[in-house]
Amino acid sequence: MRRTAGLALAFGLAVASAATVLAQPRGPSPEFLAAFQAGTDAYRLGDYATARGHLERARALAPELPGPHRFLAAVDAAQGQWQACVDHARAAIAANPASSEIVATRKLHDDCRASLGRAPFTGEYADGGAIAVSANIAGATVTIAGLKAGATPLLPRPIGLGRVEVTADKPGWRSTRAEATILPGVVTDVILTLDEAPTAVEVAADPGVPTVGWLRLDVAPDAAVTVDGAAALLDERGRYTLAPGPHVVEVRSPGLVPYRATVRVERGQERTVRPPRIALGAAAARERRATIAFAAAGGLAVTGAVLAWFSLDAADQARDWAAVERARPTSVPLAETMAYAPLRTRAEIEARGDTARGLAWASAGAYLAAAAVGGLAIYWRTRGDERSAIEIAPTLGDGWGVSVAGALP
Amino acid sequence: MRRARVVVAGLAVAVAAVAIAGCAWLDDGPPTRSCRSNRDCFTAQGEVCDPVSQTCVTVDAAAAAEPTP
Repeated sequence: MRRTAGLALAFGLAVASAATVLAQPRGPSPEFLAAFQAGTDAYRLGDYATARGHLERARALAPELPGPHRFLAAVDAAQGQWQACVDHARAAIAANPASSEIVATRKLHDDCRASLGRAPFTGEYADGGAIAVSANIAGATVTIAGLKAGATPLLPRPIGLGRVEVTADKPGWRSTRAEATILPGVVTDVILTLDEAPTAVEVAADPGVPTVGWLRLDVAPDAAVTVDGAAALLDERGRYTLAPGPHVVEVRSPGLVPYRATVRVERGQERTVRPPRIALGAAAARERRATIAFAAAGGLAVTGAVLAWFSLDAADQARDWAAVERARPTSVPLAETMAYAPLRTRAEIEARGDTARGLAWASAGAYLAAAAVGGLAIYWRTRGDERSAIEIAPTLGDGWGVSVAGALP
Repeated sequence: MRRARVVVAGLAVAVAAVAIAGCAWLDDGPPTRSCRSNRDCFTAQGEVCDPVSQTCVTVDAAAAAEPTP
């Protein structure tokens, strides 16, 4: 029994001794040291490709050591590979935040990060780090460790060390999240990509601008309607869908006077036209009356013109006579001068002038009468029976101008 | 076509009428008795220019209008 206990105690001491020996820190292996030294030598000689090969081998031999990471970052910087430089520098910092080379490593990290165009951190790190969040869309709400921090792009801000969860949300886009490890003394960049949500409402670039206009005609059901010479078809709402602009509309109903007008259709607007319904017989009577009135107006105008002409002639004659009498010499007897120009007394000349004035008044009266009868004729022809009401209005829309609806029959 | 011809004829008549009316409106009109000197009067028929009324009067009438001293 005593012997068994002694053997167990000896075995336990042996195991503990071996564990103590294994637990002692060991230095880098000779292979690592050789590769690392070769890498740093090549880097200093400017042979970056060779340096990268040796340093990657050294890193593979001892990935927990910061040296290969730091020099790989330097090689990346020399070769302009800024993102790889940032990644290697972060790996070096993570491997040993208390390294004697930490200041140089941070500077290398910040330089490479600046070369990527990222905003620097201008605050105080204290014992922590900083985080910056960007995304493929601006204005996404950023949440860091469950707290809303702002919107993308989020400039670097101080934050405690360790792992954090970062999310970004925006209406119409899928939420996205990422995890990041905050390192001391440097900015940790989190770059998120939000995908467009398939359920988002697609808004057309020009959603509210129709390309057509509509015309509604208040006509009898048996009326035949043509637009621009072609038979027109109604839509389900009883309208004619037409392109913006002027259109010639013709309406023919049995027993009624045909209606023809030019109607301007505006984009996106509905216009209603009510053609007058005039019986053919009544229209003919009005037509005759208007024609007679037009003829009378023309006759009166001609009469006025003729009277005016006679008035002008009489006035001219009176002026001529007066000129002769003013020029008639006093030194020669009248009897002799009368052989060359007949004598016109003042009374004769004034009588001729009175005739000219009378004719002028008569002419003016004839003109006035012609204007009155002509206006009456136009009224009968256009407005009197509302046969072809003319509507004139300014228009806006496809340019500007004047819209004229209706026409002379 | 016929309507067009009628319209054109009507317009022609209207233009002619307006033109003649314009001439009559701008015409000087018949002569009057007003004057500034004897050259404006029918001196061969015995008229002279009355400087007071600036009208042509016959010599006898002018004499009658002359005030007696």
